[in-house]
Amino acid sequence: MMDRLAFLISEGIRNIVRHKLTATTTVVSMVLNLAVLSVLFVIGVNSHQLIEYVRSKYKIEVFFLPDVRTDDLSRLKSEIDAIEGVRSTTIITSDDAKRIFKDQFGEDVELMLGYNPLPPSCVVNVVRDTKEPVYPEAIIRQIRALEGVDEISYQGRLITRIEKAYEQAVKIEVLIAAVILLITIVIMSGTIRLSAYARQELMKSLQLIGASRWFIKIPFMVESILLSITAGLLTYGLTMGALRWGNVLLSRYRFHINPDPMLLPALLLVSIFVGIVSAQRAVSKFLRT
Amino acid sequence: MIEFQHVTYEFRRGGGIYDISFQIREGDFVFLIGPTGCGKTTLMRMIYMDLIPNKGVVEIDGYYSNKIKRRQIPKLRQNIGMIFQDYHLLDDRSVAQNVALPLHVMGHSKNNIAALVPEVLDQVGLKGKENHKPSELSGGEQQRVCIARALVKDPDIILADEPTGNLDPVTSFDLIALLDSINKDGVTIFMSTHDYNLIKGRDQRVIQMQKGRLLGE
Repeated sequence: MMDRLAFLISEGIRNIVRHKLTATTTVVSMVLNLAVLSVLFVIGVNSHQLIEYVRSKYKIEVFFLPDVRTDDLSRLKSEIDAIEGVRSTTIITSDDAKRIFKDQFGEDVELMLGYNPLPPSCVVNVVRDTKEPVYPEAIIRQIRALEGVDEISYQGRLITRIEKAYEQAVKIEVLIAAVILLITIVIMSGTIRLSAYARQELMKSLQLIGASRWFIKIPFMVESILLSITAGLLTYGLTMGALRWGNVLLSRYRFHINPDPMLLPALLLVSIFVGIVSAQRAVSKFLRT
Repeated sequence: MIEFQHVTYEFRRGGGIYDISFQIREGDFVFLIGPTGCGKTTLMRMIYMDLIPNKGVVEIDGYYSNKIKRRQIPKLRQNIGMIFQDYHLLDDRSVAQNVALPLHVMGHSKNNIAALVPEVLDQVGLKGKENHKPSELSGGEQQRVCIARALVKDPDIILADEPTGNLDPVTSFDLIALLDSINKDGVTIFMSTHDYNLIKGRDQRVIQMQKGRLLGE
Protein backbone atom coordinates (compact mmCIF):
# COMPACT_ATOMS: atom_id res chain seq x y z
CA MET A 1 0.00 0.00 0.00
CA MET A 2 2.77 2.42 1.02
CA ASP A 3 4.82 1.44 -2.03
CA ARG A 4 1.85 2.07 -4.29
CA LEU A 5 1.23 5.46 -2.68
CA ALA A 6 4.91 6.35 -3.00
CA PHE A 7 4.75 5.35 -6.69
CA LEU A 8 1.69 7.53 -7.32
CA ILE A 9 3.24 10.54 -5.54
CA SER A 10 6.54 10.10 -7.38
CA GLU A 11 4.60 9.93 -10.67
CA GLY A 12 2.96 13.26 -9.81
CA ILE A 13 6.33 14.87 -9.02
CA ARG A 14 7.86 13.37 -12.16
CA ASN A 15 5.03 14.92 -14.19
CA ILE A 16 6.05 18.37 -12.94
CA VAL A 17 9.71 17.77 -13.73
CA ARG A 18 8.82 16.47 -17.21
CA HIS A 19 6.68 19.53 -17.99
CA LYS A 20 8.68 22.31 -16.33
CA LEU A 21 7.59 25.07 -18.67
CA THR A 22 3.88 24.26 -18.39
CA ALA A 23 4.26 23.98 -14.62
CA THR A 24 5.94 27.39 -14.40
CA THR A 25 3.26 29.03 -16.55
CA THR A 26 0.54 27.51 -14.38
CA VAL A 27 2.15 28.70 -11.16
CA VAL A 28 2.59 32.23 -12.52
CA SER A 29 -1.01 32.53 -13.71
CA MET A 30 -2.28 31.01 -10.46
CA VAL A 31 -0.21 33.46 -8.42
CA LEU A 32 -1.82 36.35 -10.31
CA ASN A 33 -5.30 35.06 -9.55
CA LEU A 34 -4.55 34.11 -5.97
CA ALA A 35 -2.99 37.55 -5.43
CA VAL A 36 -6.33 39.16 -6.31
CA LEU A 37 -8.06 36.73 -3.93
CA SER A 38 -5.67 37.50 -1.10
CA VAL A 39 -6.07 41.25 -1.65
CA LEU A 40 -9.83 40.73 -1.41
CA PHE A 41 -9.26 38.70 1.77
CA VAL A 42 -7.17 41.47 3.34
CA ILE A 43 -9.73 44.10 2.30
CA GLY A 44 -12.50 41.91 3.75
CA VAL A 45 -10.74 41.49 7.09
CA ASN A 46 -9.86 45.17 7.36
CA SER A 47 -13.28 46.39 6.27
CA HIS A 48 -14.79 44.16 8.96
CA GLN A 49 -12.53 45.80 11.53
CA LEU A 50 -13.62 49.17 10.18
CA ILE A 51 -17.32 48.33 10.46
CA GLU A 52 -16.72 47.04 14.00
CA TYR A 53 -15.17 50.37 14.86
CA VAL A 54 -18.10 52.25 13.29
CA ARG A 55 -20.58 50.03 15.14
CA SER A 56 -18.86 50.82 18.42
CA LYS A 57 -19.92 54.41 17.77
CA TYR A 58 -23.59 53.53 17.24
CA LYS A 59 -25.48 54.85 20.23
CA ILE A 60 -29.10 54.51 21.29
CA GLU A 61 -30.17 56.88 24.05
CA VAL A 62 -33.25 55.88 25.99
CA PHE A 63 -34.95 58.54 28.12
CA PHE A 64 -37.13 57.30 30.93
CA LEU A 65 -40.14 59.03 32.51
CA PRO A 66 -39.04 61.44 35.32
CA ASP A 67 -40.90 59.43 37.98
CA VAL A 68 -38.97 56.20 37.32
CA ARG A 69 -37.27 55.18 40.56
CA THR A 70 -33.75 53.85 41.03
CA ASP A 71 -35.07 50.27 41.61
CA ASP A 72 -36.99 50.47 38.34
CA LEU A 73 -33.85 51.68 36.57
CA SER A 74 -31.89 48.52 37.43
CA ARG A 75 -34.88 46.39 36.33
CA LEU A 76 -35.07 48.32 33.06
CA LYS A 77 -31.29 47.92 32.58
CA SER A 78 -31.50 44.12 32.91
CA GLU A 79 -34.50 44.01 30.55
CA ILE A 80 -32.65 46.05 27.92
CA ASP A 81 -29.47 43.99 28.39
CA ALA A 82 -31.50 40.87 27.63
CA ILE A 83 -32.57 42.18 24.20
CA GLU A 84 -30.84 40.47 21.28
CA GLY A 85 -28.33 42.75 19.59
CA VAL A 86 -27.56 44.76 22.74
CA ARG A 87 -23.89 44.61 23.78
CA SER A 88 -23.96 46.81 26.89
CA THR A 89 -25.98 49.49 28.65
CA THR A 90 -25.05 52.39 30.92
CA ILE A 91 -27.64 53.96 33.17
CA ILE A 92 -27.52 57.73 33.70
CA THR A 93 -29.62 58.84 36.64
CA SER A 94 -31.06 62.38 36.88
CA ASP A 95 -28.19 63.31 39.22
CA ASP A 96 -25.61 61.89 36.75
CA ALA A 97 -27.25 63.90 33.97
CA LYS A 98 -27.08 67.04 36.12
CA ARG A 99 -23.36 66.44 36.71
CA ILE A 100 -22.70 65.86 32.99
CA PHE A 101 -24.59 69.04 32.16
CA LYS A 102 -22.43 70.98 34.60
CA ASP A 103 -19.25 69.41 33.14
CA GLN A 104 -20.25 70.36 29.62
CA PHE A 105 -21.88 73.75 30.12
CA GLY A 106 -20.46 74.90 33.47
CA GLU A 107 -23.92 75.63 34.86
CA ASP A 108 -25.90 73.86 37.59
CA VAL A 109 -29.26 73.27 35.92
CA GLU A 110 -31.04 72.73 39.27
CA LEU A 111 -29.80 76.07 40.60
CA MET A 112 -30.82 77.79 37.36
CA LEU A 113 -34.37 76.41 37.20
CA GLY A 114 -35.02 75.50 40.80
CA TYR A 115 -35.53 71.84 39.85
CA ASN A 116 -33.70 69.15 37.86
CA PRO A 117 -35.50 68.75 34.47
CA LEU A 118 -33.12 66.09 33.21
CA PRO A 119 -34.77 62.63 33.19
CA PRO A 120 -32.96 59.40 33.96
CA SER A 121 -31.69 57.77 30.79
CA CYS A 122 -29.70 54.84 29.45
CA VAL A 123 -27.03 54.58 26.71
CA VAL A 124 -27.38 51.36 24.76
CA ASN A 125 -24.44 50.00 22.77
CA VAL A 126 -25.19 47.49 20.03
CA VAL A 127 -23.19 44.37 19.19
CA ARG A 128 -20.33 45.03 16.77
CA ASP A 129 -18.64 41.70 16.09
CA THR A 130 -21.29 40.17 13.86
CA LYS A 131 -21.27 39.10 10.22
CA GLU A 132 -24.94 40.07 9.92
CA PRO A 133 -25.86 43.72 9.37
CA VAL A 134 -26.98 45.53 12.50
CA TYR A 135 -30.38 47.17 12.11
CA PRO A 136 -31.42 48.86 15.40
CA GLU A 137 -35.17 49.07 14.63
CA ALA A 138 -35.90 45.72 16.26
CA ILE A 139 -34.02 46.78 19.41
CA ILE A 140 -35.85 50.13 19.47
CA ARG A 141 -39.22 48.38 19.13
CA GLN A 142 -38.53 46.17 22.12
CA ILE A 143 -37.20 49.03 24.25
CA ARG A 144 -40.22 51.17 23.39
CA ALA A 145 -42.49 48.42 24.68
CA LEU A 146 -40.90 48.58 28.13
CA GLU A 147 -42.81 50.35 30.93
CA GLY A 148 -41.21 53.66 31.99
CA VAL A 149 -39.62 54.47 28.60
CA ASP A 150 -40.41 58.01 27.43
CA GLU A 151 -38.27 58.81 24.39
CA ILE A 152 -35.57 57.13 22.32
CA SER A 153 -32.92 58.92 20.34
CA TYR A 154 -30.60 57.18 17.80
CA GLN A 155 -28.86 57.73 14.44
CA GLY A 156 -31.48 55.58 12.68
CA ARG A 157 -31.10 56.52 9.02
CA LEU A 158 -27.31 56.83 9.22
CA ILE A 159 -26.92 53.36 10.78
CA THR A 160 -29.19 51.83 8.14
CA ARG A 161 -27.17 53.48 5.36
CA ILE A 162 -23.84 52.36 6.74
CA GLU A 163 -25.05 48.79 7.28
CA LYS A 164 -26.62 48.60 3.82
CA ALA A 165 -23.43 49.89 2.19
CA TYR A 166 -21.37 47.36 4.15
CA GLU A 167 -23.74 44.53 3.25
CA GLN A 168 -23.52 45.49 -0.42
CA ALA A 169 -19.71 45.70 -0.29
CA VAL A 170 -19.48 42.21 1.26
CA LYS A 171 -21.77 40.80 -1.45
CA ILE A 172 -19.69 42.34 -4.24
CA GLU A 173 -16.50 41.10 -2.62
CA VAL A 174 -17.86 37.54 -2.38
CA LEU A 175 -19.00 37.71 -6.00
CA ILE A 176 -15.60 38.90 -7.24
CA ALA A 177 -13.87 36.23 -5.15
CA ALA A 178 -16.15 33.52 -6.62
CA VAL A 179 -15.41 34.70 -10.18
CA ILE A 180 -11.65 34.78 -9.51
CA LEU A 181 -11.83 31.31 -7.96
CA LEU A 182 -13.65 30.03 -11.02
CA ILE A 183 -11.08 31.59 -13.34
CA THR A 184 -8.27 30.01 -11.29
CA ILE A 185 -9.93 26.60 -11.54
CA VAL A 186 -10.39 26.99 -15.31
CA ILE A 187 -6.73 28.01 -15.78
CA MET A 188 -5.47 25.19 -13.60
CA SER A 189 -7.66 22.53 -15.18
CA GLY A 190 -6.61 23.79 -18.61
CA THR A 191 -3.00 23.19 -17.69
CA ILE A 192 -3.68 19.78 -16.16
CA ARG A 193 -5.69 18.93 -19.26
CA LEU A 194 -2.70 19.80 -21.42
CA SER A 195 -0.56 17.62 -19.25
CA ALA A 196 -3.17 14.83 -19.42
CA TYR A 197 -3.44 15.24 -23.19
CA ALA A 198 0.30 14.73 -23.48
CA ARG A 199 -0.09 11.54 -21.49
CA GLN A 200 -3.14 10.03 -23.14
CA GLU A 201 -1.07 7.03 -24.12
CA LEU A 202 -0.13 6.47 -20.48
CA MET A 203 -3.77 6.73 -19.42
CA LYS A 204 -4.86 4.30 -22.11
CA SER A 205 -2.10 1.84 -21.17
CA LEU A 206 -2.99 2.10 -17.49
CA GLN A 207 -6.64 1.44 -18.24
CA LEU A 208 -5.73 -1.60 -20.31
CA ILE A 209 -3.56 -3.13 -17.62
CA GLY A 210 -6.32 -2.77 -15.06
CA ALA A 211 -5.70 0.53 -13.30
CA SER A 212 -8.72 1.99 -11.56
CA ARG A 213 -9.83 5.54 -12.37
CA TRP A 214 -8.37 6.72 -9.06
CA PHE A 215 -5.01 5.14 -9.78
CA ILE A 216 -4.89 7.14 -13.01
CA LYS A 217 -6.16 10.34 -11.40
CA ILE A 218 -3.98 10.47 -8.29
CA PRO A 219 -0.66 11.45 -9.98
CA PHE A 220 -2.49 14.29 -11.77
CA MET A 221 -3.99 15.37 -8.46
CA VAL A 222 -0.57 15.28 -6.77
CA GLU A 223 0.83 17.38 -9.62
CA SER A 224 -2.05 19.81 -9.44
CA ILE A 225 -1.96 20.14 -5.64
CA LEU A 226 1.82 20.65 -5.58
CA LEU A 227 1.59 23.38 -8.21
CA SER A 228 -1.30 25.01 -6.35
CA ILE A 229 0.51 24.93 -3.00
CA THR A 230 3.60 26.46 -4.62
CA ALA A 231 1.41 29.21 -6.08
CA GLY A 232 -0.30 29.68 -2.69
CA LEU A 233 3.01 30.07 -0.85
CA LEU A 234 4.37 32.48 -3.47
CA THR A 235 1.18 34.52 -3.27
CA TYR A 236 1.45 34.65 0.52
CA GLY A 237 5.04 35.92 0.28
CA LEU A 238 4.04 38.52 -2.30
CA THR A 239 1.01 39.70 -0.30
CA MET A 240 3.00 40.02 2.93
CA GLY A 241 5.73 41.93 1.09
CA ALA A 242 3.17 44.23 -0.49
CA LEU A 243 1.45 44.79 2.88
CA ARG A 244 4.72 45.64 4.61
CA TRP A 245 5.55 48.12 1.86
CA GLY A 246 2.00 49.51 1.87
CA ASN A 247 2.04 49.96 5.65
CA VAL A 248 5.29 51.94 5.42
CA LEU A 249 3.58 54.28 2.96
CA LEU A 250 0.33 54.44 4.94
CA SER A 251 2.09 55.09 8.25
CA ARG A 252 2.29 58.78 7.23
CA TYR A 253 -1.51 58.84 7.39
CA ARG A 254 -1.58 56.86 10.67
CA PHE A 255 -3.36 54.04 8.92
CA HIS A 256 -2.36 50.40 9.24
CA ILE A 257 -3.52 47.38 7.26
CA ASN A 258 -3.58 44.22 9.35
CA PRO A 259 -2.46 40.98 7.69
CA ASP A 260 -4.84 38.41 9.15
CA PRO A 261 -3.13 35.27 10.55
CA MET A 262 -5.71 33.25 8.64
CA LEU A 263 -4.36 34.46 5.29
CA LEU A 264 -1.80 31.65 4.89
CA PRO A 265 -4.15 28.80 5.89
CA ALA A 266 -6.90 30.33 3.73
CA LEU A 267 -4.58 30.60 0.72
CA LEU A 268 -3.36 27.03 1.17
CA LEU A 269 -6.90 25.72 1.55
CA VAL A 270 -8.05 27.54 -1.58
CA SER A 271 -4.97 26.28 -3.45
CA ILE A 272 -5.57 22.66 -2.47
CA PHE A 273 -9.25 23.00 -3.34
CA VAL A 274 -8.38 24.46 -6.74
CA GLY A 275 -5.81 21.69 -7.26
CA ILE A 276 -8.23 18.88 -6.53
CA VAL A 277 -11.17 20.32 -8.46
CA SER A 278 -9.14 21.18 -11.55
CA ALA A 279 -7.36 17.79 -11.72
CA GLN A 280 -10.66 15.98 -11.25
CA ARG A 281 -12.25 18.14 -13.95
CA ALA A 282 -9.38 17.77 -16.43
CA VAL A 283 -8.67 14.06 -16.10
CA SER A 284 -12.29 12.91 -15.91
CA LYS A 285 -12.80 14.39 -19.35
CA PHE A 286 -10.07 12.12 -20.76
CA LEU A 287 -11.21 9.04 -18.88
CA ARG A 288 -14.68 9.49 -20.31
CA THR A 289 -13.45 9.46 -23.89
CA MET B 1 -12.65 -19.44 -19.39
CA ILE B 2 -13.91 -17.27 -22.25
CA GLU B 3 -17.45 -17.73 -23.50
CA PHE B 4 -19.44 -15.75 -26.06
CA GLN B 5 -23.18 -16.48 -26.15
CA HIS B 6 -24.93 -15.03 -29.23
CA VAL B 7 -23.01 -11.79 -28.90
CA THR B 8 -23.86 -8.84 -31.12
CA TYR B 9 -22.26 -5.43 -31.01
CA GLU B 10 -23.06 -2.82 -33.58
CA PHE B 11 -21.29 0.53 -33.86
CA ARG B 12 -23.51 3.59 -34.26
CA ARG B 13 -22.17 4.24 -37.74
CA GLY B 14 -22.45 0.64 -38.83
CA GLY B 15 -20.20 -2.38 -38.62
CA GLY B 16 -19.62 -4.65 -35.67
CA ILE B 17 -19.96 -8.32 -34.83
CA TYR B 18 -23.13 -10.37 -35.08
CA ASP B 19 -24.42 -13.40 -33.19
CA ILE B 20 -21.02 -14.71 -32.12
CA SER B 21 -20.90 -17.84 -29.98
CA PHE B 22 -17.81 -19.81 -28.99
CA GLN B 23 -15.98 -21.03 -25.93
CA ILE B 24 -12.31 -21.19 -25.00
CA ARG B 25 -11.29 -23.46 -22.16
CA GLU B 26 -8.51 -22.81 -19.67
CA GLY B 27 -5.06 -23.53 -21.06
CA ASP B 28 -6.14 -23.43 -24.74
CA PHE B 29 -4.19 -21.66 -27.47
CA VAL B 30 -6.72 -20.38 -29.98
CA PHE B 31 -6.22 -18.30 -33.12
CA LEU B 32 -8.82 -15.89 -34.41
CA ILE B 33 -8.27 -15.35 -38.10
CA GLY B 34 -9.91 -13.12 -40.63
CA PRO B 35 -9.25 -10.26 -43.02
CA THR B 36 -8.63 -6.73 -41.77
CA GLY B 37 -11.89 -5.05 -40.72
CA CYS B 38 -13.80 -8.28 -40.10
CA GLY B 39 -14.34 -7.48 -36.41
CA LYS B 40 -11.43 -9.25 -34.69
CA THR B 41 -10.44 -6.22 -32.59
CA THR B 42 -14.09 -5.55 -31.70
CA LEU B 43 -14.37 -9.12 -30.47
CA MET B 44 -11.14 -8.79 -28.48
CA ARG B 45 -12.33 -5.52 -26.91
CA MET B 46 -15.40 -7.33 -25.62
CA ILE B 47 -13.16 -9.77 -23.76
CA TYR B 48 -11.56 -7.01 -21.69
CA MET B 49 -14.97 -5.29 -21.49
CA ASP B 50 -13.90 -2.19 -23.36
CA LEU B 51 -17.14 -2.76 -25.26
CA ILE B 52 -20.28 -4.28 -23.79
CA PRO B 53 -22.51 -6.29 -26.16
CA ASN B 54 -25.80 -4.92 -27.41
CA LYS B 55 -27.13 -8.47 -27.36
CA GLY B 56 -25.89 -11.69 -25.82
CA VAL B 57 -23.43 -12.26 -23.00
CA VAL B 58 -19.65 -12.50 -22.72
CA GLU B 59 -18.33 -14.46 -19.76
CA ILE B 60 -14.70 -14.14 -18.70
CA ASP B 61 -13.51 -16.04 -15.63
CA GLY B 62 -16.86 -15.64 -13.85
CA TYR B 63 -17.44 -12.03 -14.90
CA TYR B 64 -20.54 -11.53 -17.06
CA SER B 65 -20.82 -8.60 -19.44
CA ASN B 66 -24.47 -8.04 -18.53
CA LYS B 67 -23.79 -7.95 -14.79
CA ILE B 68 -20.32 -6.45 -14.45
CA LYS B 69 -20.05 -3.09 -12.68
CA ARG B 70 -17.71 -0.40 -13.99
CA ARG B 71 -15.51 -0.61 -10.90
CA GLN B 72 -15.04 -4.38 -11.45
CA ILE B 73 -13.56 -3.94 -14.94
CA PRO B 74 -10.03 -2.99 -13.72
CA LYS B 75 -10.05 -6.16 -11.56
CA LEU B 76 -10.98 -8.27 -14.60
CA ARG B 77 -8.26 -6.62 -16.69
CA GLN B 78 -5.63 -7.31 -14.04
CA ASN B 79 -6.16 -10.97 -14.81
CA ILE B 80 -5.75 -10.56 -18.56
CA GLY B 81 -2.45 -9.86 -20.27
CA MET B 82 -2.84 -7.80 -23.43
CA ILE B 83 -0.56 -7.53 -26.43
CA PHE B 84 -1.32 -5.15 -29.28
CA GLN B 85 -0.03 -4.61 -32.78
CA ASP B 86 1.02 -1.03 -31.89
CA TYR B 87 2.62 -2.06 -28.56
CA HIS B 88 1.14 0.68 -26.31
CA LEU B 89 4.53 1.13 -24.66
CA LEU B 90 5.51 4.34 -22.88
CA ASP B 91 8.55 5.89 -24.45
CA ASP B 92 9.36 8.16 -21.52
CA ARG B 93 10.16 5.11 -19.40
CA SER B 94 12.68 2.32 -19.61
CA VAL B 95 11.82 -1.23 -20.59
CA ALA B 96 11.95 -2.30 -16.93
CA GLN B 97 9.64 0.58 -15.90
CA ASN B 98 7.16 -0.37 -18.65
CA VAL B 99 7.11 -3.96 -17.48
CA ALA B 100 6.80 -2.89 -13.83
CA LEU B 101 3.75 -0.71 -14.45
CA PRO B 102 1.10 -3.49 -14.07
CA LEU B 103 2.73 -4.55 -10.81
CA HIS B 104 2.45 -1.00 -9.45
CA VAL B 105 -1.21 -1.01 -10.48
CA MET B 106 -1.77 -4.30 -8.67
CA GLY B 107 -0.08 -2.98 -5.53
CA HIS B 108 3.05 -5.17 -5.46
CA SER B 109 5.83 -4.11 -3.12
CA LYS B 110 9.00 -2.45 -4.38
CA ASN B 111 11.08 -5.53 -3.54
CA ASN B 112 8.68 -7.86 -5.29
CA ILE B 113 8.73 -5.68 -8.40
CA ALA B 114 12.53 -5.56 -8.35
CA ALA B 115 12.61 -9.36 -8.27
CA LEU B 116 9.85 -10.09 -10.81
CA VAL B 117 10.77 -7.70 -13.63
CA PRO B 118 14.27 -9.08 -14.46
CA GLU B 119 12.90 -12.62 -14.21
CA VAL B 120 10.20 -11.94 -16.82
CA LEU B 121 12.56 -9.97 -19.08
CA ASP B 122 14.89 -12.94 -19.00
CA GLN B 123 12.01 -15.25 -19.91
CA VAL B 124 11.19 -13.22 -23.04
CA GLY B 125 14.84 -12.90 -24.03
CA LEU B 126 15.38 -9.27 -23.14
CA LYS B 127 18.03 -9.68 -20.46
CA GLY B 128 20.36 -6.69 -20.52
CA LYS B 129 17.77 -4.38 -22.15
CA GLU B 130 16.21 -3.26 -18.85
CA ASN B 131 17.37 0.33 -19.06
CA HIS B 132 16.70 0.86 -22.77
CA LYS B 133 13.85 3.06 -23.91
CA PRO B 134 11.29 1.22 -26.12
CA SER B 135 12.22 3.43 -29.09
CA GLU B 136 15.76 2.09 -28.89
CA LEU B 137 14.55 -1.46 -29.56
CA SER B 138 13.52 -3.26 -32.75
CA GLY B 139 9.85 -4.05 -33.46
CA GLY B 140 10.30 -7.66 -32.37
CA GLU B 141 11.97 -6.59 -29.14
CA GLN B 142 9.24 -4.04 -28.44
CA GLN B 143 6.65 -6.77 -28.89
CA ARG B 144 8.62 -8.91 -26.44
CA VAL B 145 8.44 -6.04 -23.95
CA CYS B 146 4.66 -6.14 -24.42
CA ILE B 147 4.65 -9.86 -23.77
CA ALA B 148 6.78 -9.32 -20.65
CA ARG B 149 4.35 -6.62 -19.49
CA ALA B 150 1.45 -9.00 -20.03
CA LEU B 151 3.22 -11.94 -18.43
CA VAL B 152 4.50 -10.17 -15.34
CA LYS B 153 0.95 -10.03 -13.95
CA ASP B 154 0.85 -13.83 -13.97
CA PRO B 155 -2.42 -13.71 -15.92
CA ASP B 156 -4.84 -16.55 -16.64
CA ILE B 157 -5.45 -15.26 -20.16
CA ILE B 158 -3.27 -13.50 -22.71
CA LEU B 159 -5.04 -11.65 -25.52
CA ALA B 160 -2.85 -10.88 -28.47
CA ASP B 161 -4.49 -8.61 -31.02
CA GLU B 162 -2.51 -8.83 -34.27
CA PRO B 163 0.80 -8.95 -32.35
CA THR B 164 2.74 -9.81 -35.50
CA GLY B 165 1.15 -7.08 -37.62
CA ASN B 166 4.30 -4.95 -37.63
CA LEU B 167 6.86 -7.76 -37.62
CA ASP B 168 8.75 -9.62 -40.32
CA PRO B 169 7.94 -13.35 -40.83
CA VAL B 170 10.97 -14.68 -38.93
CA THR B 171 10.33 -12.45 -35.91
CA SER B 172 6.63 -13.35 -36.10
CA PHE B 173 7.39 -17.07 -35.86
CA ASP B 174 9.78 -16.41 -32.97
CA LEU B 175 7.02 -14.54 -31.20
CA ILE B 176 4.56 -17.38 -31.69
CA ALA B 177 7.14 -19.80 -30.36
CA LEU B 178 7.43 -17.60 -27.28
CA LEU B 179 3.64 -17.56 -26.86
CA ASP B 180 3.67 -21.36 -27.29
CA SER B 181 6.08 -21.74 -24.41
CA ILE B 182 3.95 -19.45 -22.24
CA ASN B 183 0.89 -21.52 -23.14
CA LYS B 184 2.70 -24.67 -22.02
CA ASP B 185 2.81 -23.13 -18.53
CA GLY B 186 -1.01 -23.21 -18.52
CA VAL B 187 -1.82 -19.67 -19.66
CA THR B 188 -4.80 -19.43 -22.05
CA ILE B 189 -3.82 -17.62 -25.23
CA PHE B 190 -6.22 -16.05 -27.68
CA MET B 191 -4.48 -14.46 -30.62
CA SER B 192 -5.96 -12.69 -33.61
CA THR B 193 -4.22 -12.38 -36.95
CA HIS B 194 -4.99 -11.80 -40.59
CA ASP B 195 -1.90 -13.75 -41.66
CA TYR B 196 -2.94 -17.25 -42.79
CA ASN B 197 0.71 -18.27 -43.27
CA LEU B 198 1.28 -17.89 -39.59
CA ILE B 199 -1.17 -20.65 -38.66
CA LYS B 200 -0.40 -23.03 -41.47
CA GLY B 201 0.71 -26.40 -40.19
CA ARG B 202 -0.14 -25.66 -36.60
CA ASP B 203 -2.36 -28.01 -34.65
CA GLN B 204 -4.04 -25.30 -32.57
CA ARG B 205 -7.71 -24.42 -32.78
CA VAL B 206 -8.53 -21.67 -35.28
CA ILE B 207 -11.71 -19.59 -35.27
CA GLN B 208 -12.47 -17.93 -38.61
CA MET B 209 -14.26 -14.65 -38.93
CA GLN B 210 -15.60 -12.66 -41.84
CA LYS B 211 -17.74 -9.51 -42.04
CA GLY B 212 -18.47 -9.60 -38.33
CA ARG B 213 -19.61 -13.21 -38.24
CA LEU B 214 -17.96 -16.51 -37.37
CA LEU B 215 -17.38 -18.70 -40.39
CA GLY B 216 -16.49 -21.78 -38.42
CA GLU B 217 -13.50 -23.53 -36.92
